Amino acid sequence: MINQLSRKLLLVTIMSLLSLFLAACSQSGADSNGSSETSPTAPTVSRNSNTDTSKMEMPAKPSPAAGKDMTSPSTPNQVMVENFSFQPGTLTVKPGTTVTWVNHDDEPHTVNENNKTFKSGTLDTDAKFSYKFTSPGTYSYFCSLHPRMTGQIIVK
Amino acid sequence: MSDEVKNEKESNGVERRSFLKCMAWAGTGLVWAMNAGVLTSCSLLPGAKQKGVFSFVQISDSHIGFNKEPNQDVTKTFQEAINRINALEEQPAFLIHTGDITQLSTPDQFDTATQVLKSAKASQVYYVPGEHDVFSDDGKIYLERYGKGTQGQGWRSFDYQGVHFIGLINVLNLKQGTGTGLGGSGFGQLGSDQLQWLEKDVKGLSSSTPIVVFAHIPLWTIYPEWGWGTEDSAQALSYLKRFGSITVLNGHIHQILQKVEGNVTFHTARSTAFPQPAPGTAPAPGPMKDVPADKLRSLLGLREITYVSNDSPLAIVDSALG
Repeated sequence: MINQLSRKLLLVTIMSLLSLFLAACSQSGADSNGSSETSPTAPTVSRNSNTDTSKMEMPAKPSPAAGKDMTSPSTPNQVMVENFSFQPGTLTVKPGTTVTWVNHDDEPHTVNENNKTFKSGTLDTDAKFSYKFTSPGTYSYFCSLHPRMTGQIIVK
Repeated sequence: MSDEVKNEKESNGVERRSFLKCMAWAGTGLVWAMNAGVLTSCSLLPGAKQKGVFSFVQISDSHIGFNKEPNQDVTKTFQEAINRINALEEQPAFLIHTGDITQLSTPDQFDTATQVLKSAKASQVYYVPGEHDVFSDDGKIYLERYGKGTQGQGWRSFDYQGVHFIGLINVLNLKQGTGTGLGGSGFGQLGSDQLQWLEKDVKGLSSSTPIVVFAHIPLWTIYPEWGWGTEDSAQALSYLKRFGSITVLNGHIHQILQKVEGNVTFHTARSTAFPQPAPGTAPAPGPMKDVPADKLRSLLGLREITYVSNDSPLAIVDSALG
C-alpha cells in the first residue's frame, strides 16, 4: 500500500547539503554574542526575517572550508534544527554557556526540555531560541510538534 | 496502482461492512455517501439523490499561515477547496476538518480559516485539531473556538441518520520518544481520559451501528520513523471491534492511503495546502518544496469528481493520484 506512492514522488528535494555548508561555516563566535543572554527562567526567542543580518544569522554563502566536516556540522554552542533533527544531537558545554538553536526547516519546530526546564515556544523558519545553562547536568529535549526529534545538552 | 479494497458483499448484494466505501474525489476532500449505514448507491450524479442518502466532505491540513514552497497562498487553495464543495450538485450534510487548520495556531490564522469556511454552503463543520493547532498553547485557543459541545479536551461524538460519528484528539501532550512501543514512540496519543470516554460513548450502541471515527494523526501505524501513528490507537479500536462497520478518517500525512483491517477501513486525506512525501522517500516528512506550480493542485486533490458506479463501489479516490 505504501509502495503505491513511491514512484510518483520523485520530486523530493534534499536540502541538507546547503544547510550543512551553512552550518559548517557559521561563525564560531556565536556564543560570545551578548544580545541574547538569558536567565534560566527567561529564555528568549527571536524571529528574524530573512533579511535580518544580526550576528546570529548564517553567512550568505558557503566558504571553501565548509566541506571539511559534512557529516557533523557544528558551531560551538549552537544547535541547528534541520531536516526534522537537532544537529548535533548531543552537545556538551560548560556551565554558564548559552546555547542557541536555529530553525533552518520550512516547518516550525520547538525546543522543549523533558522536565520543562526550558521551552522555546514556536520556532518558525529562521527563528532562534537561546538558553543559558548554569547548572551541570544532562538536559534532554524534544520538539513538541515532532516528538521523535530529540536531543540533549550535557553541562559539565 | 490503487490500493484495491476488498469488498465483501452479503448475499443480497448489500455491502454492510463497507457502507462508507462509496466516495468520490471531489477535488477537496473525500465525498462520502451512505444510505442509513447501508450502501445502496454510490452515485453522486446530479439528480441521483435518494431518500436516506447523505454525504459529507472531509477536508484536512489547510495549514493557514504556511507561505513557503510549494504553496505561498494556502488560503487561496483552501478557498478553492470550499468552492469545489459548494459546486457539488448535492450538498454535503456537513464538513469534517481533520486538523492542522492553521500552521502556527495564532488567532489571525484561525480567523482566516473561519472566514474561508464561512463561504461554505454547508454550514456545519466538525473539527478535530492537528498538532499545529495546539502545540503553542496546549490547545487553549483551539478549544475556545471549536470546543463548544465537545467533551474533555475537545473530543466529541454525534449521530447523523443512524451513523455514529466520533471525533478523537491525538495531538495533545505529545511525549518525546524514538521507539515504537507504548510510552516512547513519539507518536500521536489519545490518552487514558479520552479512551475511557470512548469506551463509555459506544457502550450503549447496537453493534450494527455504523461508526465513523475521525482524528488528525492516523490511527494505524503508517511509518514509525516519521511518527505517523497513534501510540494507543489499538486500545481505541478494541472498543469498536464489535461493530460491523468502522470507518476511520485521518489527515496529517497529506496524501491518500488506505487500509482495511477486519471491519475497519482506514483512510487518510490530502491536504489543501501542500503535499508531503511518501513514507521513507525523503529525509524528512516536510513539505514537498519542488512541486511545479502546475502540478501542485493535483497533489492537493483539487480534482474533479470521479463518479463511482454501483458496480464497483470501491473504485475509489486513490486512482486520482498522480
